[in-house]
Amino acid sequence: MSLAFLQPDKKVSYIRESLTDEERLGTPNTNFYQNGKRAALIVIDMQKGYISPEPKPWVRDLSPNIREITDTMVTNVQKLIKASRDSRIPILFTGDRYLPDGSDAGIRGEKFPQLSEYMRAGQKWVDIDPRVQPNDGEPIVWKQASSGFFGTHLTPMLIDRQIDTCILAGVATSGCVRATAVDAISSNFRTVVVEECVSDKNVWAHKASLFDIWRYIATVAPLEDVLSWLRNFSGSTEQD
Amino acid sequence: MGLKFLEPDDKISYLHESLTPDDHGGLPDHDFYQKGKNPAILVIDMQRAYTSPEPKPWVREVSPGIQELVNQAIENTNTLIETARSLKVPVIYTGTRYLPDGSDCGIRREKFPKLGEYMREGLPWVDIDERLAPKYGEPIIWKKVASGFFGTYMVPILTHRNIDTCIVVGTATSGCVRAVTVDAVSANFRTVVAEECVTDRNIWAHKATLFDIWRYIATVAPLADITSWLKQLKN
Repeated sequence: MSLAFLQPDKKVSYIRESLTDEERLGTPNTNFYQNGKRAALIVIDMQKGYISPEPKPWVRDLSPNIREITDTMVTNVQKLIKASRDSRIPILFTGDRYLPDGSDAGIRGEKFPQLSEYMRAGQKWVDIDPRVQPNDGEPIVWKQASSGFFGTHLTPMLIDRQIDTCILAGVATSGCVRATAVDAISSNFRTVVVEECVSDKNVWAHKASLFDIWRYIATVAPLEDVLSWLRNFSGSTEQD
Repeated sequence: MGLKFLEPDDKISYLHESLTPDDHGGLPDHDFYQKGKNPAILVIDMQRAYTSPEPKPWVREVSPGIQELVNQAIENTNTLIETARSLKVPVIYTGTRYLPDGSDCGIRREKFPKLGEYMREGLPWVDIDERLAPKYGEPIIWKKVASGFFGTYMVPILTHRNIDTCIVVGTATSGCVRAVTVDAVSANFRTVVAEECVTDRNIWAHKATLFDIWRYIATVAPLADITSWLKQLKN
């Protein structure tokens, strides 16, 4: 298998095209998400603490050009949000947020003391980045752990909206996006990660997780494919 | 089995004392919670909407004199909480709260439109009753349904504190207290409801649920037994 997909400008979504015939035999169905009839867009952890350009007291950029990569990703998420709203696809946001006294940070607070110190209710870092601001009626699911599903009301909220398919965007690919993808598909929601709409502080970890998601967790698709799919079936997701 | 325990002044906790030997045959162990080594107090939904004496736009008192039962439960809960704090037993609160736009209410809003309207973040009704406000470091677990365990971070919070036993207090006995109790014991936490520390808008529903909890869900104990056990355990 060619490792060309590890290059920054190559996509995991198109990995199949570079495979030999023999390799292709064992690849999964990467379009199964399009069997869904009612999709929701889940925008993961697009919070000031993780993506705003302003200097943060604790975050260091691990890969060069990470600012540029993040800003490109934000622009792509804006496109996906607009298309979802146009097609009346419900949008749900997730965010990391601890209580003002940090009393619910738990072990994660022991491993990441600064995370539990800055990502508390009332601090600006927990706010969703204004570039991808939720509209009225688009809930934010506040969580303490990586997955948007763990210890949250996300599943009942998807059931309430009769969702069968989750489209995932946000940060970080190898952290909360990946954990949410595992739980979404474990809960039997068709799940697709939109490649241009996720990013990570570490480009290598980003690629490795996308490969895993593409191969055996859920699936990964290019923004273009997801946008055209949304346009096609928008009629069936009209809210009552 | 006599039904004397349905009288307001009689306690479910003492029900076994009035039983005949025959009745006794199938009785559960009411003191199993005392096998726990590391208890926490769960204070359920003691929010202004449910406990404050001020007039509320939607709540009607179902049983006469119910505010008195509420006030007693608050006073008794304070006794328990103060004992717990002095013994370094963790106190954890729950509350019902929806997002400011109500977009997370779901089906419950269809059944209780007022609940979905008034119990939103930012409105005064969701605040914990100031008579038993949490101290710094005592988490409030915000939930959207009856049980404090459903769709919340409750289990990891208990695990992080090495808790093996839940002492449940608050309101309403037949609603959120009962749901929390079922889930706590289902999650394998030893679970006891402190009888004088729980309350309900309907006295009959209150008694019926205490009976169920006592008999087969978890157990019910008088406040005095629980506080003396805590002192014995932690001293």
